[in-house]
Amino acid sequence: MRKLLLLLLTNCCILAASWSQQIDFENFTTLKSVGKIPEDFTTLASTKFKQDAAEIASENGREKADKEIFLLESNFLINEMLHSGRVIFGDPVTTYLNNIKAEILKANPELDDDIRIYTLLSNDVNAFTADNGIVLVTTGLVAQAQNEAEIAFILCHEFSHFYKKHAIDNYVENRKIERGIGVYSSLDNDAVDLEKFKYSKDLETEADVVGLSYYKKTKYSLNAAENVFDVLLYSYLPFNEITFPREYFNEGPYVLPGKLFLDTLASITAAEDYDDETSTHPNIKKRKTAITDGIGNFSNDERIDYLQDVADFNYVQKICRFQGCEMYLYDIEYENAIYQAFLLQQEDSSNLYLKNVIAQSLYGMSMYKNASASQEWHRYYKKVEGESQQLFYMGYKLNAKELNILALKYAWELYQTDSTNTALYKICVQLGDELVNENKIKTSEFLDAKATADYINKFQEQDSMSSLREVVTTDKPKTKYDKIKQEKAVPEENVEYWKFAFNKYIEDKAFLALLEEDVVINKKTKRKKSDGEYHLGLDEVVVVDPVYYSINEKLENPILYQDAEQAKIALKDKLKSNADELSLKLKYLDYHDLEANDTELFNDLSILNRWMNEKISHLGEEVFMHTSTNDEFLALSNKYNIDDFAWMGIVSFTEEEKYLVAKIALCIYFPIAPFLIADLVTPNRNTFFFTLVANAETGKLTMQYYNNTLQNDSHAVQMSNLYYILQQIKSKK
Amino acid sequence: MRLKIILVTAILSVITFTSKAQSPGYMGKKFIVKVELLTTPTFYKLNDINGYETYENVTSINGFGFSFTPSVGIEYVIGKGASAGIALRTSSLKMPMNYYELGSGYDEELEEYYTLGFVGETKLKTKMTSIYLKFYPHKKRGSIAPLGRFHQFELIVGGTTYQNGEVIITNQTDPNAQLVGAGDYQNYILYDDINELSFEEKIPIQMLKYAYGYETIIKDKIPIEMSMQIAFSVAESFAELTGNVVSYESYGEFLFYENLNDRFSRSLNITFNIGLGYLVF
Repeated sequence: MRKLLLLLLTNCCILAASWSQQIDFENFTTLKSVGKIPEDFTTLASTKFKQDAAEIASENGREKADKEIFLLESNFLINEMLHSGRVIFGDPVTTYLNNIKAEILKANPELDDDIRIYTLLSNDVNAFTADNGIVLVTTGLVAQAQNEAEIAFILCHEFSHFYKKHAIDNYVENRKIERGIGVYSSLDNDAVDLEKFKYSKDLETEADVVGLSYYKKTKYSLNAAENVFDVLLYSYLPFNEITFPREYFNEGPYVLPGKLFLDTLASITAAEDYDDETSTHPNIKKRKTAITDGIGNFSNDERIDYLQDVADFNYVQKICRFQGCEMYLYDIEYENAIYQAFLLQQEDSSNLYLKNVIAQSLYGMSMYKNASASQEWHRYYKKVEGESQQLFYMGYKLNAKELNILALKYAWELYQTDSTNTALYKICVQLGDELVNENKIKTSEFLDAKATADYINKFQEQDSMSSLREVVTTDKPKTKYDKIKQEKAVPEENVEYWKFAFNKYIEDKAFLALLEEDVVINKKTKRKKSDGEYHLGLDEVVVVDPVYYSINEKLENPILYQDAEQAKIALKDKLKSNADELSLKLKYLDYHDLEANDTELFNDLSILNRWMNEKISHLGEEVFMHTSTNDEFLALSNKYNIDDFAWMGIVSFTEEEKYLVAKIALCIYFPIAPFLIADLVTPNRNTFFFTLVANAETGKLTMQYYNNTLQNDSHAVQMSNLYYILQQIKSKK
Repeated sequence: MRLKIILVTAILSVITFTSKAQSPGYMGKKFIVKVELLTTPTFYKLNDINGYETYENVTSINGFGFSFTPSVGIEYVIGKGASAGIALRTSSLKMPMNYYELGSGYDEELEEYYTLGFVGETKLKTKMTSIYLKFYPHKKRGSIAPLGRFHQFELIVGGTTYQNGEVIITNQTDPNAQLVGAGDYQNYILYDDINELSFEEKIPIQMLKYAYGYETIIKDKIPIEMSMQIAFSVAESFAELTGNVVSYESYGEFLFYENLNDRFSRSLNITFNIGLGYLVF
């Protein structure tokens, strides 16, 4: 009894702690973890693997070996996921999910103890179960679920995956299929893949059936068990379908022309009975039917959609939907971010955070378009269904100059209402720079208030602004020849709607400062090192969670997880001794050093890793822009009182011998034999060192150093390279 | 000697001061003190003097052996991809038994002609100074000096002195000596000390060397290197360039120099080297 009371008290404390993290939706920031760090996050993957491997120690044969490989890989991959900055614990969403878990498993305390739920920050509508009992539920799922009961059914499905050990079972069976053992003999390649899909579908069906048995034991509505499949079917769409108004960005005479909008949007095509031959899950129709059959005549009386307060569900869902905006920005899905913000504005039209999301998104779209990278990243509008397609089309049709102007206009107007927002100001500065230096626009090309008034009057005399707009936007040509003729017939000045963009600000000195031609702030050349080396001249730096990978292509299981983990742990001392040699102050942040009470540090690492991941995504496309989390990064910099942060990594790689047969054959030619033998016996090993240093104040990468050395990752090679990296950080020109 | 030291120091200073400021070395340490051993297997042909097979039971030298050339030196890392060094090397070699004929004379008392010569083994002692540059392919292989594979280019200068070896034949009645110059003269006067032959006392050595090797560091302090080298003499070309071409007084003298150069070159032509050092600062 005392134990039960203690447990209740602990749960209440956790609940109180997480709910006490009241979300300020006006200044929303990415969800943070709360409370003590669970052991799942602080235990080394190798330790977890050893514990799991001990459980199968009595088994033997090939199956045991397969299981060991699975346990090794899964433990390391899950740890990597837990440390990615996208998995959180103790927050309101996780707490809410754990309350549902407690409700489902209240009659099954052993299973309740074994399963740990965490929240995965992702817009995918999904949940995952690891073999060790970790269940990750995405914020996307909570954002789209129609009620608590639907989430409960999904959790039941996931719990049955764990109970039935489906993950390891699937892995072992797949290996059997690949090897053609037993009933799988004489399968060709295509048949092997199909057999794997079939087995996966069998497991999913079983998870639905077993999950339903858990679900039936709860008080949740049985209708939700069927309706949840609609959520899954339409999960590729935003959480609502509302028409995005064409006039959303219009202001006075600044009117986006009709050619930027589609008259007819692509209809929603998702069907329940799709071909699932190459799917890991049965199609929705089959799953729905199976659940309906499983429910049979089971009574739905006294079953409800919410066992917790409805307001709690709405609150948690609102958080997840706001979080969705963050994740869209982070994942460089700017049109989706605007649409998500627009949907949320339906309930809170003046929300400053949502406006900021739109400003950030337009900024991102503009920067990508200016860098001619947008087509690589953004979904082609024809591949988008539903109301959000309008935004994809608009983004596609706006040219770089128009988009740049729209982004600057929106950001600057927002800055006028929130002049303390330094991140927004930095965006304005960069957009101004891009407008002048990339899109070659002169300030004089924009019309001031007087010129705008004259312009409007002129057309009012001729006709009216509305008729002008009609000509420009709605008079649809029927054929391509008509269209060409009409476009030529419209006076050019009529279509230059963008000239009205800044008529309110064109005499504002602060605004004009953005468009000064000599302010060049973002030239790629500034990033280049002058003599092949960096000289950052720093006295202190924060090293953020270095990475270490060890790969040997010659082995059947090429990724050497445990070796890499040990090497990473040893890296800390190596970096510190080199920093000492250079009198460089080094602060080292690593997930491996975390203890239960280091939640703040965990959150810091999550912010830093997300910042860098987003930065790398931009870099991959050669787009040099501020990340969406610059503010949080800057706050961390102030907290640590250090401006510069370094991300480092080492990848050790052993390649397979190339042209092996040819080399052996050539050995018969005696004079070159010694060289060939020497080459054959020497492993082809590379060690790749990389370091990225970012300055929080500017939000820019000040160092992007890479060295691929054709040597193994010996202690000496590591020390030599690490010293050289730190020397470049420390030294002045 | 003083001039050489000044020259070497000057060259190294220029290289050091003109190199890029940012040379990481190994954990900031760039100055290495080194010892090195050059070793090569040598095969001797012991029983062949001027076409006559002889002396195989007399010689003190084995038909097969190893030549060792130890050295001490200092090395300085001048950039990410290069280091420069100087080394002092010494070698002690044995030259197999040979016959050096110096000419002939006429003994008026005996009224007979005689031949002057020397039959015996010789010991060579060579002292060498060398300067070298080692290149670690930073751009191609990502090496950072002084770690990884390297190409070494070295200029070796020095001189060889010689003295009697273990076996000297002084008596023409020695059964082995009877075969020397068989058929021409019956009388010999054989010197018992090679230094009495009035050959040049110190024979200059100039060689160029290329080595390819691998260097690592253990305990963050001790560089270890292994390399293989090829070296060839440039003494002749150097003499021609400087106009100091040696003129030989006798065929014996010519043969002596030929043998000496051959013996010395063999000890450095192709060698396997192992070096050990200490990172000082």
